[in-house]
Amino acid sequence: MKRRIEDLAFFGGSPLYADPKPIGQLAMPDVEEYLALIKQAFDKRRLTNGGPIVRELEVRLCSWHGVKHCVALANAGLGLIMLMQHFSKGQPGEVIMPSFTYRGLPHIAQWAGQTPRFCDVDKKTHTVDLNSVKNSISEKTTSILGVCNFNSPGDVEGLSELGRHHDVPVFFDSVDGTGSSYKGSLLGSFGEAEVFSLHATKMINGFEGGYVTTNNDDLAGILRWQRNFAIPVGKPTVKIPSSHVLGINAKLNELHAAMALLSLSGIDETILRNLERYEAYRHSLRGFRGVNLIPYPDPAVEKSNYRMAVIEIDESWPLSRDEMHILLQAEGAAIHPYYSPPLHRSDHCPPQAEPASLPVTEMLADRYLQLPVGELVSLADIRALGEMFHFISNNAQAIRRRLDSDKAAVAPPVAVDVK
Amino acid sequence: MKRHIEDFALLDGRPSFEEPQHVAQLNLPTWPRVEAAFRGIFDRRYFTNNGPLVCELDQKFAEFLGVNYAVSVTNGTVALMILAKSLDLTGEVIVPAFTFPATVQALSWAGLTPVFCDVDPHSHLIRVEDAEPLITSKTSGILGVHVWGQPCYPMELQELADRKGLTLFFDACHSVGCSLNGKLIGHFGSGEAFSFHATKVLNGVEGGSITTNDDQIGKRLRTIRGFYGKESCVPLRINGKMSEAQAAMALLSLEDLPANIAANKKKHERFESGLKRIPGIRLLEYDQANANNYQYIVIEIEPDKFGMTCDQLNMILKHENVITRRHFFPGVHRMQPYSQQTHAALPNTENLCERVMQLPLSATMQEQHIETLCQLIAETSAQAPELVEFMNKREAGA
Repeated sequence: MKRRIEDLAFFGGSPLYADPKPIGQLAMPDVEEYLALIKQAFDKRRLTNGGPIVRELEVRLCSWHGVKHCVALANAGLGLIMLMQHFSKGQPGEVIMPSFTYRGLPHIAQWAGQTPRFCDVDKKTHTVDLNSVKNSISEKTTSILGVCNFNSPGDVEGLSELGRHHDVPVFFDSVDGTGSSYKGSLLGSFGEAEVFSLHATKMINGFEGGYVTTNNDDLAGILRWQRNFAIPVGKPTVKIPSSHVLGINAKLNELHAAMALLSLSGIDETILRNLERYEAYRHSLRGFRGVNLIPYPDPAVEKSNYRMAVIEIDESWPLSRDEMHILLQAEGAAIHPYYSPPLHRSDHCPPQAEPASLPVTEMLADRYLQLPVGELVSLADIRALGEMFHFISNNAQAIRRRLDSDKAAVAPPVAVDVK
Repeated sequence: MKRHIEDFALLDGRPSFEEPQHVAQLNLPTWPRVEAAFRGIFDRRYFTNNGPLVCELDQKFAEFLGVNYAVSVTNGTVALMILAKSLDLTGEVIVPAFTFPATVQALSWAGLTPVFCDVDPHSHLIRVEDAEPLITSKTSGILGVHVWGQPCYPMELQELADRKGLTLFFDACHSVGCSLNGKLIGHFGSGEAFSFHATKVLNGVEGGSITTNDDQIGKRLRTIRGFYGKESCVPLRINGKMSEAQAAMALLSLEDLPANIAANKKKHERFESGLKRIPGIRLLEYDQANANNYQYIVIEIEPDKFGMTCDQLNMILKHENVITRRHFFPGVHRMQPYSQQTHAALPNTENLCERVMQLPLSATMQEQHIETLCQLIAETSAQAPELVEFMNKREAGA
C-alpha cells in the first residue's frame, strides 16, 4: 500500500511488483506433455524440414481458422517479408500500411525491397482509414497491409474491396487478432492472406514462429516453396507469375511446432483466463475520470482473445500519459506507451518514405498505455494496480509538483525488450 | 553383394540398406541432458527475446572461436542477411555460384546485386584470380564461401579487398570447428555467418550465428536481430531472434562437438579407403594442415571412367535407400530469379555442378554401413554398362 508520495517507486519507495510484470501472454503447456511430444521427434531424428509435427500443426490451424491453407514459418516477420516480396513482383514500390502500429512493419517492407507508405487510422478501431488508404494508392503501390488490432480487425471487407477495385493485393497482419472474429468468422480467411505469430508473448506460444493463412492455392504453393529456399525441384505448378520469387529459409522447426500444437489445444482456456483478467481491469479501473479501458467488441457479436489491456488517458486525468508511464514503470509494471511515437514520426521511418500528415494517428499516439497482461499477472496484481490509480488520483497535485521539480521526469519514455 | 544387375534394387534386388541413409549429421545430445535443459526453460518461463540460454550461447560460441562477438540468430540464412545488411554495402557483391542458394538470396534480401564468380576446380573455392576481374566501380564487397569447411583463401582475398577498398565477409555455414593455420574460421573478413541447422555438425535445430572481431559491427548485429534493441543507428532491423529451445540444443551440441568431429573424421577415413580403388571417383580430401569438421563426404564423378553420370548413380543409390545430395546443382546462376541476369562464363562451376555429389554421413551410420556403401558404389561401377542400358531402355519405354 502506498500511503505517502515518497512510497511511489519513482520517488524512491519499494515497487508495487517485486518482479516486473510482462505484457506478453507466456502461455505454457504442461512440460510432461511437451517432453513426450519432442521425444518422438528425437527418436525419429526429425527436428526440422517440414516434419510431422509441423504438418500436424498446419492441419490443426487450418481447421481452427476455417481456412484452406496454413504455411508454418520461423516467425511472422519473415511471413510478411515473403508476402510483400511476392506481391511486389520483385520490383521496388510502396506498401501501404498504418503508422499507428507495430514498429517492425516499416523494416519488414524494406527487406522486401519496398518503401512503407503510411496512412491514417480510424479514431475508434485504430485500423486503417479507407479514405486515407485510397489517397495513398499510386502506380508505386505494390500491396496494402491492413493490421487487425486487439480491439478490432477494422473494415476487412471494405479494405479488400478497395484493393480489388484498384487491382492491388490486400493482406492482413492479424497477429493481435488471433482468436478474434470478423462478422462472426474467425480471422484467417480474409484478403489475399493473413499473417499470425507463434511468438511466446502472443496467443499461441511456439517459442518463436508464425504462419500465413490463405484460401489461394497458388499463393500457398508459392509460400511453401519460398520458405525452403525456392529450390528448383520443389517449384509448384501455379497459374500466377512466380519467376521473381526470392527464396529464404523460413522453416518452422519441430521443437517450436510441438510447443505451438500444445498451446493451440489450450487456447480456449487461455482466452477465458484473459477474459477474467480483462474483467478485473474493467472493475479495478471503473470510475476513474480520464482513464478509459479500450473495450472489446460485444461478445454476443464477435469473438475476441482478450489478450491486451490498453488504457486511454485523456485530459481529465490529472497526469499526462508519459507521466503515468514513468510512474507505473518504476512500480515494476512493464507498461509501454501503445504504438507511440507513431511510426511516421519515429526512428523506424526510413528517409525515403513519403512524408505524411496523419492527424488521427498523431492524436491517438499520445494517449494510450499498455497495462501488464498474460499468465504471470494475477487478479490480485490487477486489483493492486487499481489501488495505485486510486492513490495517484487522490494525490495528483502533490505528485505533479514533485514531478515538475524533478527534471528527469520529462525524459522521453524508452521501449525495452521484455520477455 | 551385387553380382548381377538383377541384384540391384533398381531391378528386383533387395535394397542394401533397410533404413534410408541421409546426407545429414543429425547429431543429438543424450536425452536426459535435453530433458533437463527443457525443464529449465519451463521453470524459468523464459522462451525467447534474448533469454539466458541465448546469452550463454553468444558467449560460449564466441569463446570457442576466440572472437569478440557471436550473435545467435534464427538460422544460417537470416545470419547471412543480417551480416550483409550490417556492413553498409551498396551495388554489387562478388559471390560464387557454386554454393547453396541462400548465400546469394541473402544478398538480394539485403538489397545488393550478386555478381557470380567462378571457383577453383580443385578446392571448389573462389580465388583472387577468379574475383579480381569482376571488380567494377559498382562493387562494394566480396562474399566468400568456405565450401565444405575449407577456408576460402581469406588472407589472399583480404589483401585484394584492402587493395581495392572492398569489404570481405564469409558464408561459414559449413565451417564450425574448421581452421586456417591454427586460426578457427570465425575470425576472417569483417564478419562470418554460421549455420546450426539440424543437418550440420553443430545442431541448434534451426539456428545460426554471426561472428566478428569488430566492435561496431558486433553491436550493430545485436541491434539488427530484433526490433527492440537500444542502439538507434542501424540500417534496418528484423526478427532474427533465436529461441531458448534452439539455444538449449546448440549449447548441448557445442559440448559434444569434439566427439562428433572425431567420429566424423574416422568415418571419413573409412570412405577414403573404401572409395580409393573405384575408377572415376575422386573423394575431396581435406588439407591435413587445417582442422575440418569432416561433416561432408564430397565426391566428384568422372562419367567416362566411372561408367555413368551423377544422376544415374543417384538413381541407383536411391533404390538402395541411400539418399545422396547433389550440392550444388544447379549452380545458383541457373536458378530464378538469377537465370535471367547476364553473367560471366563459369566453366569450372558448370563442370562441378555436373560432377559433384555428397554421400551420407550421419550419426547413425556405422563402419559396416560405410563398407557396404563403398562396395555398392564399386559394384555399380563394375556393372555400369548393363545398368545404364537398363535405365536407358526403361526411360525410352516410359
